[in-house]
Amino acid sequence: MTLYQFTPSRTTIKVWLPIVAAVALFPLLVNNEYILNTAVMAGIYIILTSSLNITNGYTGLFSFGHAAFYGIGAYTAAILSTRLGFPFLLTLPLAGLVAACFGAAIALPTLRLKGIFLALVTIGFQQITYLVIMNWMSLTRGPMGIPAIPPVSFFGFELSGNRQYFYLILVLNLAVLFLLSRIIDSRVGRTFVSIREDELAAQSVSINVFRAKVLSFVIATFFAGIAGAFFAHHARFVSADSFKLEETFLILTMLIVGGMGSFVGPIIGAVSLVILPELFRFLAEYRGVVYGLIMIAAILFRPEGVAGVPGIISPRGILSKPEKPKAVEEAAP
Amino acid sequence: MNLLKIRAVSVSFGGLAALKKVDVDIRPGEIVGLIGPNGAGKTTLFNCLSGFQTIDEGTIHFQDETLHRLPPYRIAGLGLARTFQTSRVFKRMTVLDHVLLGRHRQQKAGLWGALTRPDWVRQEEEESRNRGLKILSFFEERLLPRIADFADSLSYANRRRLEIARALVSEPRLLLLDEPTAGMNPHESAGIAKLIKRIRDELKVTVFFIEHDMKVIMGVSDRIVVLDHGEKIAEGLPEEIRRNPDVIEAYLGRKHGA
Amino acid sequence: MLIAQLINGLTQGSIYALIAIGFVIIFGTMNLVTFAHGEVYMIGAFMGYFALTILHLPWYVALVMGMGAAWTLGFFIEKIAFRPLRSAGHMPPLLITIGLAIIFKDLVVIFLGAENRPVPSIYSETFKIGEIQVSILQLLILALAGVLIIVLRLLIQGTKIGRAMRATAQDHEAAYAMGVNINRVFSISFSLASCLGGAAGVLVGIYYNAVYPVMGDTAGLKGFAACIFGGLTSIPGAILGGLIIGVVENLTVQFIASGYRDIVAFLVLVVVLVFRPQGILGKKIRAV
Repeated sequence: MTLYQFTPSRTTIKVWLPIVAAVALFPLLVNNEYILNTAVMAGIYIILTSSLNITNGYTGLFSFGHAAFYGIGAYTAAILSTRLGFPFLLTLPLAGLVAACFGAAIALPTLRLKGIFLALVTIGFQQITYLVIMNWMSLTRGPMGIPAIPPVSFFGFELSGNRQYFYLILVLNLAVLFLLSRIIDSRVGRTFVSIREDELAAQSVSINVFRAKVLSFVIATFFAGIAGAFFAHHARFVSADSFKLEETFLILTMLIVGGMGSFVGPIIGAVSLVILPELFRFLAEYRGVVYGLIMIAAILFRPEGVAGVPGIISPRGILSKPEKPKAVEEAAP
Repeated sequence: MNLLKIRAVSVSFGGLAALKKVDVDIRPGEIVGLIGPNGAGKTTLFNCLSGFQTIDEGTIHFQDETLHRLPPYRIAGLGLARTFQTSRVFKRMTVLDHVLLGRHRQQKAGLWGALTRPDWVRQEEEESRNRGLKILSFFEERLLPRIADFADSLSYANRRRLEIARALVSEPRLLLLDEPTAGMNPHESAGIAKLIKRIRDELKVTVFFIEHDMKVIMGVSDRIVVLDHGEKIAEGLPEEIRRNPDVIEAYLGRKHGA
Repeated sequence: MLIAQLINGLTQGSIYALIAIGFVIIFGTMNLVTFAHGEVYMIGAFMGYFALTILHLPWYVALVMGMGAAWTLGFFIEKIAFRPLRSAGHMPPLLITIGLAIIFKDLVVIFLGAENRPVPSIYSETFKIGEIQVSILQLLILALAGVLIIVLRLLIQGTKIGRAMRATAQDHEAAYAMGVNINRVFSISFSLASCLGGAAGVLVGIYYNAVYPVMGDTAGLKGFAACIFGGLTSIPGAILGGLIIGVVENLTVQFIASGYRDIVAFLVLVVVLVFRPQGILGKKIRAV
């Protein structure tokens, strides 16, 4: 089955509906705030991983700066709500837009670069963003972070308790995933995949590759910003430490393990890696080590992850004997 | 009225001249073959035409548009399609996706259209699908049964056909084929020759193609252009070219002195 | 005093240069990038700390031990991350080194704690050259960095393995065809680069009197920025990049704000990549 084409269509609604129903019913059976909090985090990471999938999975761009846009979204929501009193319904889209603007600003000068160079320049921006947030005291309060962010409220009704936030993130997830599926299953989405596969051939069918790459980047950063806004109102406190390079690596690990370039891959990756440390609570201290080992195992043994399109990271992922350079292959028996 | 006007095009890499003041005219409705020994500059010329190679001197005009400073995607947008010497298909996209993608030039749906799916976008997709299937039917039963298969699961010959199909769905005015029969057996090559004729006769597409298979070139071309060491050494009807001593010498080398 | 900042900057810069040269060696011979270099630097630093504070060994022994630990670690990283994926491009090994970096750092935090560990001062005397205050320690570090670089150059220019490294850096296939054991060259190159990183770590510990588990992250990236500045394949370029970053950092701390110190390297990285990806002295790369 070609999972990368697995976007909700009429027939597959039958598969999705029971899953969504089960997920919707689950919080009614659980009373533990901690478990529900984990579920909310899973929802946030699904959005983050799915949005990173747009650039890294579908378009084949190696962006290593995703957490910075997550952070920009979070800080935008935090600043707008604490200083200007904006409600969630405004901070959510504005956070997405601000993140997308930064995404465009960064994409324009850098998307000419490819491969490792693009990865490096996005890391550079990730670090610069972190440092600016940490130092721009008047805007972000630097290392102290922004506390007392108001909770989500709709027309006077304030959300409290993780169960209510869970339903909100569930609705948000459904909306985001629906929009992403429409984007992927369209002329725009086909353009992205063709760029990943063969940029030259894409140009030969009149695709403006550069513009498409920028669009891909802007879409991904928009949704990262949205996730950030939700995080801000849920956690009620933001600090730059949540948006460092490690966070990008975590999201990237989720994407790789779940599977790049497919629709369900990021969902699987996000849910598994958020739930995993909870299932093995005794490993809590070793969480970083476990994530690192999982990333290494994935690259060595199954770089397409659980449900990804094979070959995006490399054509050959299994442990293989060191290859002789091509010049001598003919001579070998 | 020329469809394509190549005038005094010169390209050099480092000190090496790949193309030296090449002149070629292509008229609408023609099938023109481009031949020459390896390294003669044929693919370089195609790269110049399609925008992947900048030219040092000369001009290229396509339907009165100046081509030689445009980026490749703009040139393709003007109706000049090409295939590549090393069959560049999108390995992890399906056959159907290829022909849908080939319609990129005709489609207008952008991000907003993708998100809101208004009627005109649905119609555009439907029309593209129909057009794509129609082009695929040109290849008899080789590609149609495989529309849901990834391109990297296709046989080599089918991948080359898919590349041609992808180029055709955009309804180009001019199609550049770079060694379309490379790696094919005589039966498959004959099929390609018939296809080229159909492309011109039924789809009204002008064809300019590079080939090494003399049977195909001689059998299908209205006119043949011959390059050697970056220069045009001959041009004319297939029978003339077949007998042209300069052409024979270029292929066989200077065996008979001076 | 401007000159004092300059000397401070050059000292710090020479340490960045050592890290950067490591990246140049790895990219030059293997055509690959590692994100675990910062962690190797950190572990070298910890080994130096261990030698100085627990074993009370003299600083030169600590330096050698730090370099040795780094060499060994580099050896194993190459075996795990790079060797199995010889022809898989540079993304898979890069991702593995990211995983390894996370693992090393976390293990150090778990077993040794996240706090700063103080490293005793070894030479705190200063003296004056005219108006300028110079510390013996700064001169020592500059001298050591210089010595290491000279030794490296002698190694690469004069020894058989050095010739093999240079041949491999030019053309893997040709080197292999001439009988060079590519696997051994890769292994030694990586270990050598790591060893320099370890030396840098020990020197930093001595200079700033502290080591801590997260010291590798930014140092590694800064070293990489210097390497990119110089052109990825140029050792003199990497040295220049390291020195410039070190000096500009110090000027930034002095004249702008100390918190923005780290930004310098990343601005260099971004600006170089956007405007001149081949760096100052590198060959024109096709940005792939």
